[in-house]
Amino acid sequence: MKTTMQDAVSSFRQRLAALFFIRYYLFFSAVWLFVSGAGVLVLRIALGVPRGYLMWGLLGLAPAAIAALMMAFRRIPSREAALAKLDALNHCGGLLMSGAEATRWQSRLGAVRLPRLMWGLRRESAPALMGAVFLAGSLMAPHYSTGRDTNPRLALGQLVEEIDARIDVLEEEKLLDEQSAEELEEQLRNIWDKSSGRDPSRSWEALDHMEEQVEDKSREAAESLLPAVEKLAMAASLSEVMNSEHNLEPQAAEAAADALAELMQGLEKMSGLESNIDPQLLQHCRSAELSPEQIRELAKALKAGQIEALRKMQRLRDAKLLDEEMLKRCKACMDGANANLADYLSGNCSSTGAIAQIACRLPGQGGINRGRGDAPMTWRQETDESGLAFKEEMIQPSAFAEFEESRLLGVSASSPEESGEGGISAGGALSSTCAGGGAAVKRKVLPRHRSTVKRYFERKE
Amino acid sequence: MAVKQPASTLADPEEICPAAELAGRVLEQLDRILLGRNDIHRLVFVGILSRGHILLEGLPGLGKTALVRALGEILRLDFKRIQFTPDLMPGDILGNHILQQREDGHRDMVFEPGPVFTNLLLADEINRASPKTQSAMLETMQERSVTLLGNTRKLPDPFFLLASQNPIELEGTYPLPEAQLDRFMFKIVMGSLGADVLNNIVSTRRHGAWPEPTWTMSAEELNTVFGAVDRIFLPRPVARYISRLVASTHAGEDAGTELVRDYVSYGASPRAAIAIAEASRAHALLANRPTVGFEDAKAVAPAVLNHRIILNYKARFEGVDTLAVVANLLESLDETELDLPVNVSLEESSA
Repeated sequence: MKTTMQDAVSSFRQRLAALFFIRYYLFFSAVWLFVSGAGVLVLRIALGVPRGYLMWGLLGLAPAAIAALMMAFRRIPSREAALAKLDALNHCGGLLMSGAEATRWQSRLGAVRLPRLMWGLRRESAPALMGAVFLAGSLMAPHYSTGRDTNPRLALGQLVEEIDARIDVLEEEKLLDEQSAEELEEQLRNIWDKSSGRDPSRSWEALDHMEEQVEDKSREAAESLLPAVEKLAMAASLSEVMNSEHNLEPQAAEAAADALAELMQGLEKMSGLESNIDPQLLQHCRSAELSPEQIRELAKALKAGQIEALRKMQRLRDAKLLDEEMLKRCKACMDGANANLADYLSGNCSSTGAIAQIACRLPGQGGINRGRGDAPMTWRQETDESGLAFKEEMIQPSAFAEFEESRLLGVSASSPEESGEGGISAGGALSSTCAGGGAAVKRKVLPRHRSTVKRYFERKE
Repeated sequence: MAVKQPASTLADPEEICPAAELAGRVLEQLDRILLGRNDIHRLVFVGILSRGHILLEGLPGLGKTALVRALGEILRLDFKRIQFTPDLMPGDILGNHILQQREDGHRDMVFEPGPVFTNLLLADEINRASPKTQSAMLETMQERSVTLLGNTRKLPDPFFLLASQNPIELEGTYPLPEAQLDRFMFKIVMGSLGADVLNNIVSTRRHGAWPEPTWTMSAEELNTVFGAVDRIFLPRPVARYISRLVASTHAGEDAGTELVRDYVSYGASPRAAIAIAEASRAHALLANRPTVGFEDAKAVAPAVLNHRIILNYKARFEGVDTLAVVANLLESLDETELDLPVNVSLEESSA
């Protein structure tokens, strides 16, 4: 760009001024942005000042511009220095500096070309950009992350959701009516809404109480369900007997139908049954007038009810509304249905022959303490050995000879008792002899003589 | 604070242009007589126009003596040559008082001027003379006068000393003392010539004889040129640049560059700044300008500072010479003190 000397100098100085202004402004802005960003964080954390007020801090960029302007004015090179630079860059050989424009050397001077300002903007702009990002981050940071909330809430979401899920389970399984469930859920929401970081113990206590309340409801429901499950299991067993044994004597069949009608009392409303049993069938059942088809249908429905009850208990267990013990009790009710039915029949039926007929057709449990000996064996589960486990005892080799002389006195289900005699292995010729009381000489008493010796010393009253 | 010289003080083109033309003709004759040394001719003539003494350093046979002789012929100046040897005495240079008997029988001491009483003196192999003899040149170089037996005699005007020295064969030589070196305006190192120039010399110079100058400068014309040099204007920024340049040759806190800080023992004297300023004026005249520019100062600075900066042993050990230090200074020193930031630069506009 060609121009006159005066214009060139002015333009050159203006360009330098603009350059210095931008540089200083970027510097001051970067400083201010970082300082204000830190200030914003402090104010939000310490005093909880809202963002809207903090946005006023951006006005600090205006003083930064003024300061940059002042600094730029101070840095503007003098007219003489600018002339010298232009002279050097235009290779004027001092003509520009000496004011040759106004002399006869003007023709030699020619037009002045303004130099190009080459500036690496990235270096100066990077801190300002980072400062802006920092300030923006400070302003935009979520409220909770600044650590200051006028009404801080506890992070109870997960716990509330768990309790809410349990309430839903109880409601779905019809262990809790809809209204009670709604009340509990409303209560839960209130606790969550009113939870405050200022008084966390209160919220935690309320939630604990709520949890206990739900668990109590569940336990109550389960406790109330257990007798029904027991009756259901007995009814199912009885219906199976009636369904499978068509050769019952009329008296026994009548007694069984009466017992079934009695057992079905109160089971109609049991969840899972009302949908499976036809009301007419139920009516026939109450009146003890069931045809074989109806008995088959009833047996099937009762079996399904049993499965449904077990599923329900398992779901409650999975939702941590019941403990494992309660589920075991439920299973025990179902497993011990035959024995319970036998007991039930003996307590409620007057006809001993009918009881015997029905009871002998009840399948056993496959164990040694359940069922009659002539009952057909059913192999369902592994034998329960609770209280009957034999303890393994090592028999000493020296005692093996005694088995040859031993006699069978009887068979016991209990573990044999260790007598302690001859149990200790010892070497030597007299190792298997017993010492006489106070005798100086030890004599060997053979096993076949022991009973004789024993009888000899027996006292006769 | 110096008052800015008004524009009206600038010499008119009528003053400068004829003188620049005359100077150009001198250079033209020199370039015609001695081939392949245009830059050195220019520097030597700049030194002459600045009334400075010049130390020429180079191997034998490079045309040092020829250059001085040719210059003397072109300028039509009285030319004398002294071959410096270890047994050369000051009287052999300056002159002696000789007892002479007049016609009336009276005897008195008559001064017989030495070869120093000339316009252009070539002190050949000046470093072969003893320090005593070398120091005899101090007064002649600085005051352009000779004092013997209490009588001071002015040397002819103009007086120029052009000394030569051989950088090798240093056995039996006496290095010039710093005080004397400082009195030389320029130290010009004459390097070897290229094959093309040598070919030209071999083809055109039988027996090494150079052609006679086709034009010579008269004393009046020489005075005109000297007068024009005196009218060359030195702008204040350039003067300041020269001052900063010389000041930055001193190792210390104000050192111009890292090289100076590391390798310089002693920087240039104020006489160097004066020499640069004067030589820049002459250089500007050769460029047909009434003002001194930064480029003039940069052109003469190496020759002025070359022998005035004393390097330390570290520099000698690492092979750093003064010309490298000066070149580094000229490259790094901002002429105008704009103090631009590091990553900001100014480039000449192409359009």
